[in-house]
Amino acid sequence: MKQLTLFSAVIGLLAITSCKKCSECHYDGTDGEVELGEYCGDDLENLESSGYVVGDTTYDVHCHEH
Amino acid sequence: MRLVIVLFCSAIVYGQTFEGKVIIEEDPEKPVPFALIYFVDLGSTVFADEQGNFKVANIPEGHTTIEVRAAGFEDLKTDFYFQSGQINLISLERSHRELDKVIVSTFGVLQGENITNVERIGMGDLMKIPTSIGESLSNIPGVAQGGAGGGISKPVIRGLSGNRVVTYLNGLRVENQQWGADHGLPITELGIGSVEVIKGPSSLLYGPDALGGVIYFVDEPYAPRNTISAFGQTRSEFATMSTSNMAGFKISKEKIRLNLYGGYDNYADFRLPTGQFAQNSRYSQASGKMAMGYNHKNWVMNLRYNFFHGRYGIPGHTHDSIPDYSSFQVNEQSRAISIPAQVVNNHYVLFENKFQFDEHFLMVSIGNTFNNTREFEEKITIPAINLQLNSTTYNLRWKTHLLDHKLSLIAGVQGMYQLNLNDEKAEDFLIPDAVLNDIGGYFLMVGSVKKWKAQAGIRYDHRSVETLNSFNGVEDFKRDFAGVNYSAGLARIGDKSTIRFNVSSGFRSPHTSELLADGAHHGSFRYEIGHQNLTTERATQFDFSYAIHLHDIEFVINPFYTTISNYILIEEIDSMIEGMRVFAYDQIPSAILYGGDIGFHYHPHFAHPLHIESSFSMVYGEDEDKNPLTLIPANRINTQLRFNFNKKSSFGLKDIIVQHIYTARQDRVGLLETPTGEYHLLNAGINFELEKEKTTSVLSVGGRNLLNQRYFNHLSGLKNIQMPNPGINFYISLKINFNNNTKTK
Repeated sequence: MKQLTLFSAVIGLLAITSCKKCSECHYDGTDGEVELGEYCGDDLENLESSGYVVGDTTYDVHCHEH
Repeated sequence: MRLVIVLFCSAIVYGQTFEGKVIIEEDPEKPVPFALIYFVDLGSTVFADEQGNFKVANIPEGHTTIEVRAAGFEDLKTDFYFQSGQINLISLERSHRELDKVIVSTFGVLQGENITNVERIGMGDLMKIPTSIGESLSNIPGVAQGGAGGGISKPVIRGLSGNRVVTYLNGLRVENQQWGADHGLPITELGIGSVEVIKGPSSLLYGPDALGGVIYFVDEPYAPRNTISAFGQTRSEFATMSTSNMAGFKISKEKIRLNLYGGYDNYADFRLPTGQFAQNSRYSQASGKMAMGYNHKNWVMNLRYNFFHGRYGIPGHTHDSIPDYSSFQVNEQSRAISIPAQVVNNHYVLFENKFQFDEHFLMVSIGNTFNNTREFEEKITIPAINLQLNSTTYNLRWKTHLLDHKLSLIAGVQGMYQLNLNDEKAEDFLIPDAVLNDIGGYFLMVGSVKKWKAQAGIRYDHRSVETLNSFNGVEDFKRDFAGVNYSAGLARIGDKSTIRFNVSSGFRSPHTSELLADGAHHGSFRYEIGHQNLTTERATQFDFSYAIHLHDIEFVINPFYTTISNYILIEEIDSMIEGMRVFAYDQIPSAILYGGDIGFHYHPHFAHPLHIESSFSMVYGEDEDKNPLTLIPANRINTQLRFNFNKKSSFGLKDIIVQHIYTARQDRVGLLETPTGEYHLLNAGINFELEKEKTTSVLSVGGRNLLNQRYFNHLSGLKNIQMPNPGINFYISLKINFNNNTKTK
């Protein structure tokens, strides 16, 4: 019983800590949507926070489906 | 100083062991076997044996409130004086009927100190046909459901909701940004034993803001002494392909008691009557709860902790300036995490202490609610709105009995320190960082002579609100509000009838959202604009209740009339900003709400399994020019037939419930508000029970909206995007209870 409890707790902890958010992202360029591919975890957060730079223009990024 | 200490110590009475016996009032020679005796202040239960005998240890000598129940007998609630060295006799009256105390109740945490009509209902009765806790509350006459669909549900009491309805959980005032139309009830059914509702201004005992009423959730009691119990429950629903699971564990020893609970729910987008799905109406919830009780001599302590995490999809997201509402109803059902979404985390802690000194009773409690509300609108990792609300409350109450319990005096002090902060990384700041300080003191007298009971009380409150930084160009915003409230009532509680009349007042200062809001609130599907010059609302309610309880039928009529001066409302103005309809806060000199409930419960002697209950609820709201107010619930008739069965074997049919709800057309609408059509809903459920030596299992199957009616809830935010409520929905549920005595005989 103790082993089962410990095993379940470890699995639960791994499940929680190994979960990363991933999403397909794009920005709205001058000629329409431009796909950027999949971003996960910290990369996703940085992209949403800083935007995507093309030349002198920083585009707001959308990483979800409407 | 020494004299004070001696006098203080001599007033403390020590916990002892008492013996008692439950007997039949009409035939005192005969016992009432296996009666349940619940000690309200201790939160613990003992059972009488087959001779009606029981023993209880570690309670102080003197008056203590008990509830006694036994099958075939009238329930009893009384302040009983336990004396040592003798058999304490408790008498129960026979009852040939088992009318549920739904319509008229003298029980409950609140009713003991109130003449105000208090509706009390057990969770088992509320959940006979299971649904969300918010929707289940709308089965109570006078209570309706608002919100934003899915898991976001807001109670509406006699037409008032949001900041005007205060929610309590075991004496802890719960704060969760309830000003928001999309900020739902912060509680699941996990570990809840009953709910009590006061309809109307209740500021005397529950402080500022309780203008519309109070919803008071009471946890399940602890396990009976020296027993262990546990349960597991799982439920699935068709319309949402949902899974709802919970488990609980209880253990009680002589002095210490512990309850533990955990639960998890996951709901996909709900199915519409057309067979399509409401896009992004999905949600998930996780909750945990711990309650620990301890008593020693004259001291009873309860420590409670609740955790709640919820993620709610927000339907109706679009970038189109003229939205196509049909695009929100899709052919594919999903439960995948998406945006926009609202994510809520709540932590509640309550530390409550009760002391009994013979005829005096002191309660001291301190609690904290921490709420984090985030709304993810355009970005998955960066919330547009990120609010942290930290509320610390304290409550001191002293109660004493005089004149052989014919007069009770209650005095108390309550307060709250609340800090609301926006996370600096959030993209939108809908309400400012602010500090709120409440303090109030009250005094209440309750007297009783034979069948008559009278109550009168007065209270003073002071509130200060101060923003912590500049907000939307407003610097150094600071306001103070103060109010005096009262309550007076008279009741005659007879054997065959109960009459109550109550006058009560309440006050509510405007919230910072009403004063200073200026931004899109996606969860409410609207752009909101505040009004800095709002002043305090004040309400007075006249409430009358007359109930007849005969052998086979109970009938109640409960009209009310409420006036609110300086009524704050939010109304749509003819404008669109960021593709959203614009709503602005305003204030009118006065508003009137009136209406009432009429109900009956018929349990014929010739057909014992049958119960027929029906209630009609109506509310009308208008301003001083007789113009209708917005968001007033439609009139409603709620009828329930229940067949209870006595199983002849260990497995069998327990009960069948059929419910019909008729909601009338609501065409008394405010400016730019649209009418909502009438509709009929049919719900039904069947429960089977299997009893073994140490386990009881209940299998439930049934459905809601069995007619697959396409309908709109007049109070729901989904109406703003022309999204109807869910269509036909079947469910199946299994609950298994385990019980074991820890002490061998």
